[in-house]
Amino acid sequence: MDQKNKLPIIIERLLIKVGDGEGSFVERAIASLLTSSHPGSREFSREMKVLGEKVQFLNAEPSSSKSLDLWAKIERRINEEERAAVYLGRRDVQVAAEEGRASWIRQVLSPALFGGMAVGVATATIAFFAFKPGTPDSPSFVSGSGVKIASNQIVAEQPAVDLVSFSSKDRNRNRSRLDNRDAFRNQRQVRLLKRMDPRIPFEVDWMKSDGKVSFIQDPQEGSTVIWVKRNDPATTPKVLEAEPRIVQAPR
Amino acid sequence: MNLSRKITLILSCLFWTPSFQVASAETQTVVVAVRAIHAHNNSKGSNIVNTSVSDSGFQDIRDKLRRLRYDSLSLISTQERTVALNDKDTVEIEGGHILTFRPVYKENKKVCIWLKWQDSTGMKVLDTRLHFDGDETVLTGMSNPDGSGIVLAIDVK
Repeated sequence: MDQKNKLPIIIERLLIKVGDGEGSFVERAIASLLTSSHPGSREFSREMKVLGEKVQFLNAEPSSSKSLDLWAKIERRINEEERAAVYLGRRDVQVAAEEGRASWIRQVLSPALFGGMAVGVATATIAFFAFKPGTPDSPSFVSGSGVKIASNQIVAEQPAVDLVSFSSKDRNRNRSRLDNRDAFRNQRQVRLLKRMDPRIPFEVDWMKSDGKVSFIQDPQEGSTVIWVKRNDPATTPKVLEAEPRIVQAPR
Repeated sequence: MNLSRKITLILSCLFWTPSFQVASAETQTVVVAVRAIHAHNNSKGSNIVNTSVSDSGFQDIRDKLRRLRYDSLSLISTQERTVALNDKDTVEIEGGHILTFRPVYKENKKVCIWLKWQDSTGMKVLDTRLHFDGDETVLTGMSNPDGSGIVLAIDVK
């Protein structure tokens, strides 16, 4: 197209747009009218069409060749893997594990799971306040590391009592745990379930002390005294320096 | 359902949960009696069976204290507090001891109480929650470096 028959830029853009199939109904109608009535427009459309076909051909040619090369590479790589597997063994695939880790992180960070966890925490909070703890029939916890059992006196002794629990149901299991008390000695918290000795007239949910706690029991009386010894005598003040004052019990 | 209706619905459900019903029903009070007893030895090697009791305020638990290796027991103080269930109260005992307690429930003679005993230095002598029969007396004590001791006898009636 020579300079004389050059179309206005707006017409060229319209024809290019319609030629690429992007024009609206009105634009297509105008373009059709122009190409049928104006030779310059008709020539421009034809040139654009030929140019577009050339571009499509050039784009299609390297992609197909690349595609063929890629498949050949893949096939060659598979064959190499199979040959290597004969001598070296099958390669461990770590992709799944990595994907697993990634998916685990994605799951943790996913809004859905986060929302579910939030609902779970809310439910647990409501349940915590909704149900009264420590009813007589509920399981209870008592404390103690380094528990000792004597014939009729000291039932349990524990330095700096932490968490313990008693249960008549799990007594036998607790006995074995008591035998293995050395294993618990260094543990901050020891959990023995439910009642430790049926002669102890109480159940303990938890027990903490800065001193050493013993259960001093008198089987004849069926009594148990929770006795605490101080850990550090050097820092112990005299609690009762003055003469004890006798106060009569209220009548 | 708009937001205000949802909030109203959630609050309605919450008010019908057992915790609210329990809270509204728990107006029961209990009497917690704390007796403090000073235990000491007059002489070494004394026979614990011959424990002398210098006051009649703890004759009911005298035999229960036999296993403590003290030959003399004397009542320091007796304090009674009427406390509503789940309410906390504190008893100050001579020598700077502080006993904080909270009765949790009393049902069918079964009692649950939380106890926290601190001495004058702030040492946590005992911090525990116990379940026991209401007829029982909780006995707890602490030994001092000088060989004496203090025993607390706690009754929940």
